[in-house]
Amino acid sequence: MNLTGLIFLLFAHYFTGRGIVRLFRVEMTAVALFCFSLICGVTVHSMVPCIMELLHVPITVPNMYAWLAGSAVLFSIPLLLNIKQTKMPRLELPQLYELPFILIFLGLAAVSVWRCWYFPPTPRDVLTGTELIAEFTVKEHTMRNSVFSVDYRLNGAANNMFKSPFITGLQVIYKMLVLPFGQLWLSVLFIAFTTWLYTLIRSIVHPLLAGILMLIYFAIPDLFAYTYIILYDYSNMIFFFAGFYFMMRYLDNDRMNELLWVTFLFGMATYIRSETLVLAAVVVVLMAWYQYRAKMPLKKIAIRAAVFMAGPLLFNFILSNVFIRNLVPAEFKLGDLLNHDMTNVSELFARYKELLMDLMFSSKGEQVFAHFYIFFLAVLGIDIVATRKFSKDGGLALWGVLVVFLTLGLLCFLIPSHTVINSAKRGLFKLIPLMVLYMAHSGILQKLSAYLRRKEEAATQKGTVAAAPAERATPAPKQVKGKK
Amino acid sequence: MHFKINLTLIAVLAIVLFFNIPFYKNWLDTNIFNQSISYFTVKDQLSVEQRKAARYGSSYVIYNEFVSMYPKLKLDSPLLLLPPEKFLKERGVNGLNVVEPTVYYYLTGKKAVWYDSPDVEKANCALLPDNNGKVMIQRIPNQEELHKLLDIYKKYKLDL
Repeated sequence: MNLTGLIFLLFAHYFTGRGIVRLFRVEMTAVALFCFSLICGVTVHSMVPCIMELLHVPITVPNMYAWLAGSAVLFSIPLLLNIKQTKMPRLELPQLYELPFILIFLGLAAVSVWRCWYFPPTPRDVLTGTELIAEFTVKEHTMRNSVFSVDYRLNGAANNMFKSPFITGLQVIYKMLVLPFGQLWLSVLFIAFTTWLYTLIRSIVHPLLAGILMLIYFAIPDLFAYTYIILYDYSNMIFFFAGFYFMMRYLDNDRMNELLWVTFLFGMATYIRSETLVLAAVVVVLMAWYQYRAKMPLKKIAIRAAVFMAGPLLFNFILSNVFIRNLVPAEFKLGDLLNHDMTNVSELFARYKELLMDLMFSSKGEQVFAHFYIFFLAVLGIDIVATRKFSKDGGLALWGVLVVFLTLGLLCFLIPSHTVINSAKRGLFKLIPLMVLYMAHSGILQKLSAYLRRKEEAATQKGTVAAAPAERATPAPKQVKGKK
Repeated sequence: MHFKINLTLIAVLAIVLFFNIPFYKNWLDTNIFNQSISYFTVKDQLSVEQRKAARYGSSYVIYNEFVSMYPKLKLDSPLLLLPPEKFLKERGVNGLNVVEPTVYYYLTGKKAVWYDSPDVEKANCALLPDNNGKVMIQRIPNQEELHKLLDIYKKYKLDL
């Protein structure tokens, strides 16, 4: 493994991403800023090999170093322009009672990173598509390489070659600069996202409860597996959830820069998985509905909806009409993939039933998601029956869950190759952080959280009061001497 | 401080209880603590080739053995005709998973075709089973032999 290459890439990702986040001027904590800098840097860098190819620049190691360094310098310009405003971040140390959880998370993260490093890429979807292209790009220095002279049909229904170059680009970069299997970019995304999610959840509920929620989240077998197996869905989940969360924040403040940040995040999610465009189109309706209820004028709602959709549409255009059209020398026929019997609506309901009964709440579902949905339903059930309290953010997270579920079923209906057991299974990852967010906002955990915080505060005050007389009882020796 | 220590004990208890739920205990034992892929088990087998063989299994090793035999076949540009898996299974070959041409290209760097691939007429070697359930790579001497083979293969659906 080339450690120098990895360190170079981490710096390049950080400065590129930091510059991008700076462009949007979104207020966030130091940890969130650090995490999003890495997340955005990694994702934007995945486009670098594509741009090099489009400009007929040979994809070689020296060129790759030069282009990545160039991109980091270019995106650092917004930072350099505001260097005087840069403040040292104030980091809050974790509480003693968070340490057991943090140790477990670090242990699991170490297992994930080790497997990401040790295993070569495995999923058939990437071996017959993006990873295959990346492997031969490294050997032949071009993305339009000999792979396309091989019969790449998969029983006549393959579209793996036409998937986003997100993985191809990152695999090319990491194979060239770090190690032959690439892949470690996934560990960067995983650690950055999980760190942000933990700090987000602990800002909503008491850290003890945040630790328990994150433990349930970490121990979802398939979600954990896709932290070291490269595919699109984990990365797509990161951007979808981040977009949704910042949209919730935007609904509180109606700041245009935050909306632009949201559209960028949904744009990135669409760039990774083009189907996200459909999800974004449904989420924008949800956003408009909330704005309508908040008595925003219709014209304003329409403008904001257009801004919201601009990112996903733009990145979908870049993905399909710039990258795939010019980088994949083959013809893609979407029509062949679409359902030819759209009028048979009973099939749509059959997909929803399949999602629920064959996937989420089945023995297969238990292997994939463990008892996560049961924990979620238990918290929701207690909220409905006992506390009957739904905060605005909790409600929005629940709407998000519904939107993802309904849209995934619809996608399975529209595109039959988008199977429930495979495609929707990983698509359901998008539900998971939304459900964690809901649980954090739930009435029952908020009550428990308030109780723990009160108790903790009281104990701290008691400690302070107890310590104060002791300090007064032992005056400084000099003062005593002076009085004498 | 006492309260924080109590909360720490609760955190430890929560973790212990969580990983005592049968499903999570099993996940921890069979997945996270899976010895076969732990660093301590594989620390002496960390070369790229060893890791590929460990992950892709016997198919990776067998296909690369076939490729190492290409020089003996004395072909200018070898193009392998892949058999349908059901064909091999019917002849008692069970240890080889047939992969698609793209995966073959990824694993070996050499090209292969299905019986219905556009370039199938250029195929000049094939995987043929012997009577002992083993597969041998053999040169296809002429177009007539190729078509005989294709006629047999076409009876099978290409289903991976």
